[in-house]
Amino acid sequence: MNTITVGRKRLDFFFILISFFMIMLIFLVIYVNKTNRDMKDYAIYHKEIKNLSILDQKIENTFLKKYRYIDYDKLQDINHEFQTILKFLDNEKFLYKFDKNLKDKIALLYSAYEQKESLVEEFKATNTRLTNSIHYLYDLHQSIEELNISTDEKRLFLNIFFQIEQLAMDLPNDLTHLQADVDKINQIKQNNKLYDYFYQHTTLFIKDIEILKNILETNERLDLYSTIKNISYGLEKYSTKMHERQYTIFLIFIIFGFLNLVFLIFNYKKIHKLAQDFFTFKYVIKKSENIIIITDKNRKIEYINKTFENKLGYSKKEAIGQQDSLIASDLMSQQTHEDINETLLKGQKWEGELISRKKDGSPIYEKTSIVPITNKGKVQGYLFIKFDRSEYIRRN
Amino acid sequence: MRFILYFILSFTLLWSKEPISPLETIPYNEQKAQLGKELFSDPIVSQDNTVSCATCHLLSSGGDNDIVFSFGIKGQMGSMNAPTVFNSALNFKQFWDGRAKDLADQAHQVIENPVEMGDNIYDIVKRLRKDKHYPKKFHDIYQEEIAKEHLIEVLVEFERSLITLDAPFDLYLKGESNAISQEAKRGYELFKSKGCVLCHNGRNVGGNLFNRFGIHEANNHSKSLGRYEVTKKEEDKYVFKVPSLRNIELTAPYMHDGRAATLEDAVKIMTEYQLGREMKQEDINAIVEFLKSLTGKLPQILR
Repeated sequence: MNTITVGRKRLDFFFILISFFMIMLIFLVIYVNKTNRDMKDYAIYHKEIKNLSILDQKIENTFLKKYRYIDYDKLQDINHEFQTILKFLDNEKFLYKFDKNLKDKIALLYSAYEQKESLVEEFKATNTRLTNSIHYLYDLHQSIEELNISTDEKRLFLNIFFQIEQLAMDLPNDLTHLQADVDKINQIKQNNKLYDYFYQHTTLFIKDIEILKNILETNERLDLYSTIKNISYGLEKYSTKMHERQYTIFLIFIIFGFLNLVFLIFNYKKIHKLAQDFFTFKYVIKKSENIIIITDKNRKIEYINKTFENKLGYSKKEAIGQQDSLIASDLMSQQTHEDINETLLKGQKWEGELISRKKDGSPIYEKTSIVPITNKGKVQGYLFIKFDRSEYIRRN
Repeated sequence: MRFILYFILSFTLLWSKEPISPLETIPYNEQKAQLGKELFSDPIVSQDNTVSCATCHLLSSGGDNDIVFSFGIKGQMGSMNAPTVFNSALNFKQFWDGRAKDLADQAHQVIENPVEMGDNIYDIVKRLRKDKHYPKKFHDIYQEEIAKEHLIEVLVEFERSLITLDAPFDLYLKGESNAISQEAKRGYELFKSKGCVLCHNGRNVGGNLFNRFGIHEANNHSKSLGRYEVTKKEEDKYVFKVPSLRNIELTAPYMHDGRAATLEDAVKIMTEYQLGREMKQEDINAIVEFLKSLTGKLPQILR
């Protein structure tokens, strides 16, 4: 036994495992935090998109209110809400987060909404004119019996009423026939205000119903709803991806965590065994009849056994922390001291006879061996094993 | 059975709902509104210090002026009749042609219109910063140097405070059946049955729709092309914002070009051009009577 090598390898592996586990834990906390924030943003964004879809439906409902009173104020509030949400959605904070095409999609949404808004305005105006004409025609129809007109003209009037009704109700109708009848009114109107207004209303009605039809057809082609759906779809894709990633990351974490645990258990078992060995050795050293000293690399005393206390008279308290020169005596030559130092510095074991001094000043003859304790070639400390030969020397 | 009852009930409620609803105040910031009120009457907002908002929108007489076209800086005449500033916050778009989407946009455009204030908003901000007392007042509100957004915001807040509550007709809608005369009630019924209400409805009795001026009697178009100037769409020629009829008694002359001097004229023009029908004089009178019941109280901030 020239030197003692201490097994620190196992301990290092343990620290690597623990550090790795800590890093994973920190990463997981950061990840969970970020994901939580992202999901919150996503939830808000998605909710607003849903709201847009509902508002779009409400706006769409306007187009169903043909010939009816429309609550423009309510529509105005809906439009205002729609614009507020649009502004909220068009936020740099979100635009590159959920979908790389989101910016373009929002731009599309803007233009589709503007088109729809102006279509609604056109619808409102046209519908108002149509409804007003219906009011007028209704009034006229009510009072037709009181009008001072010929039976033929009355028949013509009623004929037009009937055809307008067909037109309004989207029933099959013959526009050329209606137009011909209306033109007849134009021919007989002369300067009579009644005929004139009747002619104007019917002509306008035919024109406006065509405009209304165009508005509704244009609206059919408008892709506001599909744009909203498209955005919603993109968001859902993002959400699915997020969930999948979350699942993967948690799975990886669990697998690594489990492996870590297995390693740690093995490690613990080995360390446990080592600890038991250590306790055995410690017991042996403690109970040894030899004087045992363990110092650090600077030869400062770290451990002494009971025999040391008994033979040299120093208590643990007094000895630990002192240099090993505590027990050196001037009975040894300078040459011996240098020899010891030289040998130890080379990392080699020194063996020989030494005379030390007890606490009370009396000498003690010892057969001594000093073994460097190394770890990876570096001296960590020294082990002194001394055997008291004072008795033997005195006897001889 | 209960379902049917609900169904019938909801239907009756739907039908019983009046197409005009009473005015209610809208929330505004008092401090900003007060500063806006001061700026509203201060010619500091015009290029040559001659014209203020209140030059055209007289706060003591209906929120507009009594002339056909208003004068801007250097005595230049505008081309539209100034609409009232009262309840303007409720309009769905601003200006006769609806070119401003809200009041902030409107204020900005007026300030920079060469015929009106003829100014650059940044120049006004510079002038305000050099002024003796405005910097402190703005600072009290915003805790920073005056910016154009602040100027616009205080003006808008002031305008938001200009809601004319408790018109007799509103009180009538709220259940005070004696708040308006019998004649006015008849006028309201005519207003609904003859079709006026199709355009003039809601809280502001108008101001929430565009329509063509001169639907009937097509030869009486105005010089102004209206909304066409904004959209350049053929179908938008002679299309204007339908104005609010609130406080109409105080805001003569009428129409975008001020062609009608009296309410009676205005109703007559509307029945012929817009409704396309003849109306008896007594019916016109009743409608005028109804319109007069739409005059509300002066807003709190002006009292």
